[in-house]
Amino acid sequence: MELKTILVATSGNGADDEAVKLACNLAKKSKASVYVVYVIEVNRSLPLDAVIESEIVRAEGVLTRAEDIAADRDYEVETDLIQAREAGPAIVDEAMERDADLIVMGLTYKLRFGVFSLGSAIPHVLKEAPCRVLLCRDPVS
Amino acid sequence: MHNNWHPKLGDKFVRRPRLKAHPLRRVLGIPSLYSVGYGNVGSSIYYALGIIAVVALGATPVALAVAALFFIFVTLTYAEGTAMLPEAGGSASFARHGFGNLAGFVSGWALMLSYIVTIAISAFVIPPYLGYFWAPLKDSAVVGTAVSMGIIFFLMVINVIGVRETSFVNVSAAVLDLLVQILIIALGLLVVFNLDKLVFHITSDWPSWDNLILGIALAAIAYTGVETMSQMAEETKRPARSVPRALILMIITVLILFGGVSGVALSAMPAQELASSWATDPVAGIAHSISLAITPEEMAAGLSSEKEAVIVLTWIFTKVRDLLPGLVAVLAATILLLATNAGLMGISRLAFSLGRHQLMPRGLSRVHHRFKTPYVSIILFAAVAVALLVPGLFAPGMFLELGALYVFGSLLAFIFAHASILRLRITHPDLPRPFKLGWNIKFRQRELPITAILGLAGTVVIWLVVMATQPYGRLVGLAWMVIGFVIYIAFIRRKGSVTGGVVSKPESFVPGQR
Repeated sequence: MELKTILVATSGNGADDEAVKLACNLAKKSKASVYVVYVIEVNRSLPLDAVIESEIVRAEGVLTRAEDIAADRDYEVETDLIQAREAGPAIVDEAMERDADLIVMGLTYKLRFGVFSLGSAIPHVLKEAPCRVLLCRDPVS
Repeated sequence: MHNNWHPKLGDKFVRRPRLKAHPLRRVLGIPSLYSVGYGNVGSSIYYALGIIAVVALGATPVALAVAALFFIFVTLTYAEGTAMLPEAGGSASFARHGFGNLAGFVSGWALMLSYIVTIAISAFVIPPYLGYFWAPLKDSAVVGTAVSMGIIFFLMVINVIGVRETSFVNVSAAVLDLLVQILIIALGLLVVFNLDKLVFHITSDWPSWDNLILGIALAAIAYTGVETMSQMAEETKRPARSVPRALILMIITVLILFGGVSGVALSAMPAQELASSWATDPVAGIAHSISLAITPEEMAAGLSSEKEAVIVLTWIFTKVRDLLPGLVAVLAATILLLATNAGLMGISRLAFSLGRHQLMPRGLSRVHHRFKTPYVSIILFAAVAVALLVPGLFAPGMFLELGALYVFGSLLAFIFAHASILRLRITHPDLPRPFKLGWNIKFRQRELPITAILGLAGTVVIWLVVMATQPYGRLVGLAWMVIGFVIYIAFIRRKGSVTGGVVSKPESFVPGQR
């Protein structure tokens, strides 16, 4: 698998760190570029460009941490903060725009109504992304 | 990309310029935009037909057709304006750029009124549709209005909590809406349409001139969702191209479907019946008439001579006859519920947008720390919508008054939209206009589109007719505008920056920057 561009979609869950590490490790071999994105999902009762300070603080924290993790591995990543209505379509769109060869996403083991759940963004990305998608699930705690 | 960024003293956190470099992800294409727009405009037929029929009687299709002409002008104006200024705010945004902050505020405030009435009127007609299952919902003003208020309260709560409505829901609602209307028209043409009967129903219940003119004015209610599509411009990919195309596609669909539904309605029943028994739920009336007119055995025999086929067709027609009224009741209620919700979300977005441009107190733009929703504006405007419904507890005729109030607000916004487009043609003739209206006349070396001039003149006349003939619309509408003006003046004074209304050059007026 030849990789030139890897997109890491973070969401602030505990699995982001491993996803960034995995992307850096994969990228090193082929000197691929790594982009880390965080999508702020804006409720439809707000304009898309509404500035929600608390969300921005959180997103900046996640992206800064991703940069630090990459720096620990002597790798430089580019980060981006996106506002969108839904994370799934935004990640796919971002991957297409950046011509990504691989999307890496981390997820935690989450139960919803007693059933394992992938949330809404991951199934959308798995279904719609034009490139490969790598999911990195945290161990069951 | 980080070169121009410097932290400022007093920043509570260090914000890297990531957000500025890449703020929004626009994902709406023409189909999604069309769905959102049609979902809004299309839902109005579920109440507009009844309101118009109350006044215009047999001339309901004529009133709709004349109003459609102005709808085309309005849509074309929005197409040029939105392609030129692809940002949230619609006519408020055009007016702010064209005439300055005060006009932007007045237009936005008028738009807010139309959004609030959308919420009230859509919620008001849900119970009559559901009256098929429990008669008091339709027959009792108290029960119906109380349920409408409950619906608004419920939507207010879920919007404050921030329950996500995916784009799938929007698209599904529009598809559902289209399918219901196509089904009604197809069955209507098949079962009840009769040209002689239609002409008889139109001519026998022809209204007075006063009523016809008022009917045309009120028919504007059927076409007022065009604003929604403009509001979505900032979420649209290549808005300069997509928005005009989606708008034009919507005009064609709306004209065909509304023409079809009104034609079928007056074939199915006399105008007097539409304006009395089915005034609040006209589409249910059409479904009821179609259901009564279906004769399964005869229709099956007419379509096929084979015995097996006749049995199957008879069974299908029997099911359609039995299920149609209930199905239409459920679907109409669902579509209207989504329209009510769209109104609530639309007004909070608009309030936030006006607050961001410092045209409204920032308190209205306050976002809940946990739910991340503009809870102040959601609660406030939902409360105003509920207050507008209070007279409905005592007066069933309230429905028409709400329609007039709706027209008051939305037409005022349209007046600003037309005027702003014309003014921008004069003051900023070289502004890039990806969609430029044709059929221009020259005035002092400036090109002015005839459609915008005719639209402006017609909209002003219709607005004046509503003002002159509808006391509730006039009083509540003017009171709303006066309250808004007082808030604006107080807010501007408090800010200490009264500029005389007109700003020289709004800060965001850089076409193509988005």
